[in-house]
Amino acid sequence: MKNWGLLIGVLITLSPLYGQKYYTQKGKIIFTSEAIFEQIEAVTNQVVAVWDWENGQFEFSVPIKSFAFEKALMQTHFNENYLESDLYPKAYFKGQVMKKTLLASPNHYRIGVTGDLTIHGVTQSISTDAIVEVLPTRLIGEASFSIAVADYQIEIPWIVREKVAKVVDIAVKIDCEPLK
Amino acid sequence: MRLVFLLVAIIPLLGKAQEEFSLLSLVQEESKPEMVEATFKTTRIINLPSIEQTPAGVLDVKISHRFGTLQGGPYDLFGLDNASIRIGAEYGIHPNLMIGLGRSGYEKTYDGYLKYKWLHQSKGVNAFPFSMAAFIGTSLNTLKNDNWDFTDRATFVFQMILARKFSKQLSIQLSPTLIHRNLVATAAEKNTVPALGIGGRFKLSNRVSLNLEYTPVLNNFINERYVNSFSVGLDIETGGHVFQLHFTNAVAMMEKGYFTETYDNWRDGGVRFGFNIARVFTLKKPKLEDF
Repeated sequence: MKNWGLLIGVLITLSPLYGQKYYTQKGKIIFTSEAIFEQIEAVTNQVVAVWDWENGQFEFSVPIKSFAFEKALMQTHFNENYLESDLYPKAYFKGQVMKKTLLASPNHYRIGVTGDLTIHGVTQSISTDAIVEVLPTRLIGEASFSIAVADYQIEIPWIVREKVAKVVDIAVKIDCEPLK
Repeated sequence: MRLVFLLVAIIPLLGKAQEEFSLLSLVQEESKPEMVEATFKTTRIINLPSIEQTPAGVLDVKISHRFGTLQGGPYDLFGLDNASIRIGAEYGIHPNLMIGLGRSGYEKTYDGYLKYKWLHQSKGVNAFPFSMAAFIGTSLNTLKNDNWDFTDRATFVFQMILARKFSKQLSIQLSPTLIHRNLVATAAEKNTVPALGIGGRFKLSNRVSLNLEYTPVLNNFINERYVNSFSVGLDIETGGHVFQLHFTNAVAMMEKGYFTETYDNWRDGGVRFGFNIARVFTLKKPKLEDF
C-alpha cells in the first residue's frame, strides 16, 4: 500500500517535468517599413514556435529567406544587403511570458512578454504585450512591437534613406497545438 | 519515507536550473534544399547575359551607352562625344523564363531573345553545384541597303549558361555560344561561329561588385581584323537601380556584335567607357500570404 502512495506522489511531483508544451511550425510574421517614399511589407508563414505552458518559456525562430515581398528585387536586397541571410540565416526569440497570470479558463488575455531577440547576429532584449487566446486544445498568441534597425547593425545606405524606415514594425501571430 | 518524498519533490526544481536548454530543439524542422540566389546583380555581366532571370511579373528597362574610344583624347573628351546606345526591356514571364527586346544604334539593329533557366544551384539537402540556363536570340539589322533581303539581315544566337556562386563574393560563369550569321562579308568568314563567354564577379561590398568578361571566338571563323571583346566594370546597386560602369573594347551590345564584330584593341587604347542602367518595375505583384 505504501508503495502505491509513493508512486502517486512521484507522479504528481514529476508532472511539471512533462508539463504541457505547445508548438507551431506555421507561425506568421509580417514586417512593415513605412518611409516617406515607400511602404514595404514582407510576410512569412514559417515561424517555428514552442511555448512551455507550465513555466512560461517561449521561443521562436524564423528563416530570413522565407520572408516574401511584393517586389522581387526588394527580397533579394533584404537577403543580400540588409539581413545578410547567408551569414545569419535565422532570427530567434527566447523569452518568458512576463506575468504569471492565471490562464486556466478559455478566454482572451493580455500578457507581457519579455526576452532576447536575435536578428542579423545581434541580440537585443525586448518586451511587449501580447494577446493570448486560450482554447481547450490550442493557444493563439499575437504580439506586435517596433525595432530600430540600427540596433541590429543593419545599415541603411544614405541613398535609400527615404525609402527604408529606421524603425520597422513587426507583428507575430502563432497558433499552437499541443506538443506530443 | 518522507526523505524519499522530499528528494522526489526537488527533482522538478533541478530541472528548472538547466536554463540553456532550447525549447526549439523539441521540434523537428523539415529540411529542404535552399536555392542559391543573387549569383550576379542583374541579367547582364557587362555585355554577356548572366544566369540571373528577371523575376516573374517584373519589367527591367535597360539603357546602355558605349562611348568612343579613349584614343580620341581630350578633343573628344576621351570618347564621351560619341555614344552608341541600346534601349532594351526584359520581362519575366515565369520564374524561369524571360523575354527581352532591344534596339541599338549600332547598324540600327533590333534584337530579341528568350532565356530559360532549368537548373538552380542549391545547398542543404539534395544540394546542386551550379545553375544552368539556355539563351536563344536573334537580331536584325535595318540599315538601308537594297542588296539585302530580309533573311540576309538576320543572325541567331544559341548559348548555354553555366554559373556557380562560389561564395558570397565570387561568382563565375561560362557561356558556350554558337552565333549564326545568315550573311557574311567575305567567303573566308564562316556563317556559324563557335565562341565562349567567360564572366565573373567579385563583390567589393554588399552593393558594389567588380565584373570581368571575356568572349573568345574560335580562330579562323571570323575576319582577322576582328578581336575578342574584353570588358571590366563595376556594378553599383542603389535600391531599384543597378548602374553598371565599365571599360570595354566592344561597341555593339547584342551577341553577334560584341562576339564577332569587335574591332578595337585594348593594346592600342581602343577602349571605351560605357554604362548600363537597369531600372525594374513590378508590373504584376505576387499575392502575399494573408497575415
